[in-house]
Amino acid sequence: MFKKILALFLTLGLLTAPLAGCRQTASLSPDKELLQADFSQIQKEARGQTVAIYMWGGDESVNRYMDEWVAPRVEKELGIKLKRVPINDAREMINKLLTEKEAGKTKGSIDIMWINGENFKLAKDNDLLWGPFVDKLPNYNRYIDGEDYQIKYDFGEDTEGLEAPWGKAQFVFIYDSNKIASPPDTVEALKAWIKDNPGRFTYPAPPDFTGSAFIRQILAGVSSNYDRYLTASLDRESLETEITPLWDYLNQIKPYLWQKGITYPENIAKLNELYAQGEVYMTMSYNPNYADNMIKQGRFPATTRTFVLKNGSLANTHYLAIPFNAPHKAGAMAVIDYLLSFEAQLAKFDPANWGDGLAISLAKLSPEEKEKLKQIKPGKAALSPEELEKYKLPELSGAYVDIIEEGWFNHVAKN
Amino acid sequence: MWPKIKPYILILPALLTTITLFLGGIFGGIIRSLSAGKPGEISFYAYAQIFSSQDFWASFLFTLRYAALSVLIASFLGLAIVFGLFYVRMEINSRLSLFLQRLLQLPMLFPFLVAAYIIFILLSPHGWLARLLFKLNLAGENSFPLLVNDPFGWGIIIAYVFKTCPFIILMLYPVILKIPKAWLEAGKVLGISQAGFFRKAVFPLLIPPLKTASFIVFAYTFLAFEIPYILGITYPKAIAVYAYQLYTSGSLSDRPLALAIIITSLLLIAMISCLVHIITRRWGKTIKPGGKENGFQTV
Amino acid sequence: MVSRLFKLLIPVFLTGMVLLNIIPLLLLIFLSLGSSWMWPHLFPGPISLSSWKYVINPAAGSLPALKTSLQIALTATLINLILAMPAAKSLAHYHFKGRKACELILLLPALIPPWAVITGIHKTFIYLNLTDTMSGVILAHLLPTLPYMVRALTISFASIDYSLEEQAYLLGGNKSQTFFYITLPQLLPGIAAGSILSVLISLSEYLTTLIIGGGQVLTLTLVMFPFVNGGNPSIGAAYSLLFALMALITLFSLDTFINRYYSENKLY
Repeated sequence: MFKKILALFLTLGLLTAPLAGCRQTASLSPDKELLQADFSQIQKEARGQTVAIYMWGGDESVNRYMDEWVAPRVEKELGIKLKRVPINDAREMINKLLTEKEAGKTKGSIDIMWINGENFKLAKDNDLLWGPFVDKLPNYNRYIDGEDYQIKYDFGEDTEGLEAPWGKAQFVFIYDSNKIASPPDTVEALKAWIKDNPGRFTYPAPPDFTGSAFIRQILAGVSSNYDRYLTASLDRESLETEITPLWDYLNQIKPYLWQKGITYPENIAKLNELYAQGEVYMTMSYNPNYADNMIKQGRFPATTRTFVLKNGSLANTHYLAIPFNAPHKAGAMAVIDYLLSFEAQLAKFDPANWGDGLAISLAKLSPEEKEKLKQIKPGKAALSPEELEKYKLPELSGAYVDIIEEGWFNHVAKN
Repeated sequence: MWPKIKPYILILPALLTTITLFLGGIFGGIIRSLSAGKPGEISFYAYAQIFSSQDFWASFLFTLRYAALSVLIASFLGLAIVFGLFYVRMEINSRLSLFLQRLLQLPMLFPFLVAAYIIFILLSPHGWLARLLFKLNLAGENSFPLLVNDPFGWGIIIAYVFKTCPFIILMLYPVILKIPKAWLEAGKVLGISQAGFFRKAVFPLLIPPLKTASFIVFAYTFLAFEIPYILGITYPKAIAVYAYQLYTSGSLSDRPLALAIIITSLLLIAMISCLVHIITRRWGKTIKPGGKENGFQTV
Repeated sequence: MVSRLFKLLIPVFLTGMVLLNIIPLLLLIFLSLGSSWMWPHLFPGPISLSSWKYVINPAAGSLPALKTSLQIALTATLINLILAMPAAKSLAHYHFKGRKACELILLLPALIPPWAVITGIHKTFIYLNLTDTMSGVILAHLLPTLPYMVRALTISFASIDYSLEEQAYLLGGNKSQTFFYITLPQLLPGIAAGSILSVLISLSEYLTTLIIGGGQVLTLTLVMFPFVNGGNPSIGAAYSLLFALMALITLFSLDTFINRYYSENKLY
């Protein structure tokens, strides 16, 4: 009997193996035609499609903006059904696409993905993206300054029209003004504060997006020549050695962190919960309006405020891209174009919805549009746009992000 | 001819399904774990990496510790509860016993991730228990011990005990149902107490299903993902979390590593289980259970 | 003396254990009904239904997810029944060469969390266009559930009273009549046990659904994950309760359905 089973199992193995070969034929022309087509033609084709947008689903206000503001309008105005697929981490999409590419699957399931930084670099390096498509979008051409460094380069990587900017974010610290009278304003002052208040500070462990950003934020503060990291020129070893001051800083604060640094919250949501419970006195966010959103939801104390470090505050742009095997590319283009419209950007900018920074350029707005924009005031916990602008720093090269995250594990977490 | 092949025909659909999915999966996993080198070549690179990696062994020992401890605790607790239920059935009311058994099955309604969540809200440093002790002036604001996301894995252990104990009870309780009251009466006549009766007559019957149940729980716990993901620590990670993060690291070259970790863990679990089986083989051999089959019986 | 101590201790111990099972449930209920749960309050602040409103809100997608969860669990269970019924009969009634090996193979998958095995045939699923589809997820869910069904039915088959079947034949019943009126009712407890375990395991599955469903097949477990893993605690609690409620109602209706069938077809 056992032999029979073995034989059966081998046959099965043989049966499935050749399938790998015969599925590789790619469908070709229609996608290329799409890049040449007139936009009204694209919109016509998009009508009736169901577009799946994959995005990190951990923020209630982002989800609500998509589900309650965008989806009904897209359906009404473009005849497209928008399906938001929540994921835990943008890396999941890259993985899925990599597996599909390896298996030769030409019709995937992701139409639009929300990415930036190291994930964009991975996608670009592995040819996971379709395009370039951005210059086909009327709203891109009308509102976006494609030559702006912060738009053209995503974590130092040339976007080459493979992803359309959707919004801008900046790294801020969040604190309770009831517990901290004047927050620290430099990385050194932050260290001193952490030492004076043992157990009241921590940061999410990478690969959490915000935790990883915090580490880069500290790097910007402790390194004398930060601009050097904007483009990737160092290999893994030299980078890890060169940024020793970063590991030293993080190891010096470690014994004074929450739970003495034995463990770290594994995502930003957990850190926010620790803050909400009053276990720690600070949290952080890559959305300057996040604190206001949380106050409104009644989850953060009303005395919550934000601050940035004078050493500089990291800023990035986040983008929308179309995978190589997106089943509804026309629909994806139409939706992305809609998301770049003034109305959609304005609603996204409004802290009542999401409070995300504008991807569209102020210089390209009409006087009426500028007037509308002025009506929207930042929340009381948020810093003024001028204050944020003053300390703005670009993100370092996407190629370094993974190296720094792994380095953190070996140099900091394991100690 | 027909009677001879009939059993094979009957079992074939289920067997084929299992072979395709299960053995196919393991086989595929082995193949991919050996594909770290050039395409089409077998390479043991991934295994060499794993065996020499300090991170892997740290994860392995961490996982082994919480899996072994949680199965031990859950087994003892399950046994104690079954004894209590036996006592209630024999001495008080068999319906009450059944009702209590059902209540104790409550955690089976929750998935693993909710079990982890429940333990988190109960036992985190500012969780419910910490608040209760604080209100009762038994603990200060920051003196509650770290029981979740802790280096030892207490949170993981408690969550697994909470979730798997009902399963062990489910496997043991049918044995209790099979024991006629007359036996106990007979024992009483002979002057044997309930505890003595349980130890001498019931306990041996419980050993085989208990061994099966704890084996299932141990092997399953070892590679289960949700609970250590939510209640684990930054370093070392549980094997399942470590392997899954490598599998989804965004780099195809990490996949053979992830699969090698899974395959290695499966082999090590099998070895450990064999060892434990050999050591405990003598137990429970004294009396064979009345029916030849135990466990999974409906109640 | 010792037995008197026992008499006192056993109820105390059992009550304690039952309480340990019930307290978390009560806590989840309280938590789901508050909006904020600030230290050091034992119970959340002002009572509010906002978390439940968020969970029930169509945009959050919980109800379609609930439907997907049930569809997957029930279909997988039905397939399990069809596959396991003949297999269990074979294992329980026939002594054939390789029986032990077959039984071992059938039960083995219960030992390993399915995601660890699924990663090995992930690529095959992609070739066969099974990823991102409900059928793929159902197929993957057979892996951890089938062993339990086989086991439960094997026990049932082993305990069947065959004199009844013979009597039915003697009285002129045909094969299918005998099966439906005599054999099936005797199997029902096993069917119930197997189905309940199969449904529970399928509903709870997280990682396998994520890997094979690729985020397109959204079950309740997937939708609730971010909230349980550090998000808004009261939404997490509401989702947990919604899940338990779904499981409870399904199991209860399964039980009632099977019991009713049982009493309707009781011939003896």
